[in-house]
Amino acid sequence: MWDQKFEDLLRGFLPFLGADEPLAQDTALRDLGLDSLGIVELLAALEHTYQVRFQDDALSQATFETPGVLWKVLSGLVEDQAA
Amino acid sequence: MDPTVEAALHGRFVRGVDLAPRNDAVRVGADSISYEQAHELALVWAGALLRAVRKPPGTVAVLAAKGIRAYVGILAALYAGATVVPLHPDFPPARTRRMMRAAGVSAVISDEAGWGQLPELLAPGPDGEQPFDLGGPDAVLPVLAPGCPAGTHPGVGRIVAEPAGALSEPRPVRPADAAYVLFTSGSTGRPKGVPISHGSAAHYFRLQDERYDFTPQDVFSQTFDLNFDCAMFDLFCAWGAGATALWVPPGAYRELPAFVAENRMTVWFATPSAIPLVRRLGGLAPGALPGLRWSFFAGEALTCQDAADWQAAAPHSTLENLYGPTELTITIAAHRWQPERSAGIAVNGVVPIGRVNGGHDHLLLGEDGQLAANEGELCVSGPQLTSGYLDPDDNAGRFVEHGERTWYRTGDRVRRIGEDGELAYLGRLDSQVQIAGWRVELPEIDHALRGCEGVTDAVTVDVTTASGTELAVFYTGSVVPLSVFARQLRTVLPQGMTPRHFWRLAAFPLNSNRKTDRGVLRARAEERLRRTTDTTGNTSTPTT
Repeated sequence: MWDQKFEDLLRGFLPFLGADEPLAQDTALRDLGLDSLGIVELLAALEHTYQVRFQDDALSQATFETPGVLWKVLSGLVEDQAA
Repeated sequence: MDPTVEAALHGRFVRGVDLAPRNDAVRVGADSISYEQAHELALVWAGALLRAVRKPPGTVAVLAAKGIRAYVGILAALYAGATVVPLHPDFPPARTRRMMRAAGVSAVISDEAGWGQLPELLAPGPDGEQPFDLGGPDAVLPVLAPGCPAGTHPGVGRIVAEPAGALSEPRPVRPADAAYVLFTSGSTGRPKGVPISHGSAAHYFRLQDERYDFTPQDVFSQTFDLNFDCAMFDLFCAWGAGATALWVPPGAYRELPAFVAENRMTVWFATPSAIPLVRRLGGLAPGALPGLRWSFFAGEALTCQDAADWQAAAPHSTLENLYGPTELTITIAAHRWQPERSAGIAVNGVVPIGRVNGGHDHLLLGEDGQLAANEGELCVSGPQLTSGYLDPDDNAGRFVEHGERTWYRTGDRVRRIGEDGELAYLGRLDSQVQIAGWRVELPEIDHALRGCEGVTDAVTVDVTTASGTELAVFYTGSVVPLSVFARQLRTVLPQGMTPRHFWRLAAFPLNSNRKTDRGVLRARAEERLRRTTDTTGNTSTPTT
């Protein structure tokens, strides 16, 4: 499961997720209001917060499909960074 | 008048072929196509289209995502002498279905995204409505779907494009023939189709040729969706000069200065909301965009602060604020930014919309419906004026007769400023707003929201925030999860029109006429957004 930083950051880009509604692993982020420009900003925020660098091809709807998928990609980058 | 190719919108591409045959006409990511290649391909597709439609040249929808096929598709439809209707595969199918029916589409060019959507578009709508009359129970819709999987869909007649069937040259058109049809938001929830003639477009692009100095070395940004008329500026200004139109993918905003430099981009055109986005992503430092020669903004109000910051980032570019509704052919007024002068004559910190295009007359209508001297609703008459909406019922109230001429009522309040005929934009008269370039009728959203279970009534208001115009909704009824709103809105509204804030009220405040007081609601929304705005700026929670 992801950390609180990730959850707080992600929620900021999800206008259709109420503060009292849980963020599920497999919810489609697009359905919660994450659009293509939101993806760009979210990616920049994640890079800044976790001090990682996404490759250009990570900037796809697939990477940002669900919170679970995004966290997996992000964790991978963070581990590579540490290695 | 005699049909000609020179006066045709596609005559500009032919000019580009003569000027720079080996130049890229369009680049989308790693894909590109030269003027020569695009010209030949469009002639092949145009020949195939003309053989397939029942009454040539017809109306051709281009249902494709950004890609070479979408651009060549637009060109091919025009080469066939047809009216082109660009459609967006990401739009809700119900909306696209209505547009296809309203435009009387006689053939379709699609990519995989469009091809995959066709079965849903050809099925009866949820209210039983058919997409359009194909001309008989056994008739099929001709579809050219190059590069798509083999096979077909029910109701579709797949067109095969053979090089042997290519036209020898683009078909001539008359100035009064419609070059394209685009749709704007309608208050009834039904999009309104706006046909623009080759004659109107010819006048418009002649003015652009006089005003600017584009050459085959220019590279134009292409940030607009193809169903938004500012994209016509990108394409036909670039193509008339033998220049390249370059698609700007969302990811490019991550490092816009690098993208602009690597692609040797020289002409930038976007909605003003691109400026705060680039700023937030760190790309707006002074001198960050040194290669730009021209910077254009249109589609919503441009603030002086944003204009000044962009100008500092792109110091070698001339910056202009362009203004115009679809009904007046792309843009009908322009203001050239001069930092001190412009800020000095601006009203409310918004860059003026400038002077109305040559060849046109304008007048201002006061609230009493009489001519006003200095401030009122901008009405325009001249060669860029549409002949009227596809559905004549939509014309009601949008045009006014004066001095034996027909004038389009823009719905925009303006004020005369300065000495030389410049205009300042003050705001909308009606309930229409612009969000990232999309014109949105707020009642259209209210209508959609009332369809959500639990909602008794809904009022959408527009709020100006640091990141541009946003939509907020107040509703009455029971508490509705935001995801329910999202689902409902996605079926009827394009993403750009979707409100981002929802608040429940026990009852709406009323004005002295006992009508819902939108002004009070807008003020409340502004107050709440000021209070809740954090670093990301767009989270809100349902409150009562």
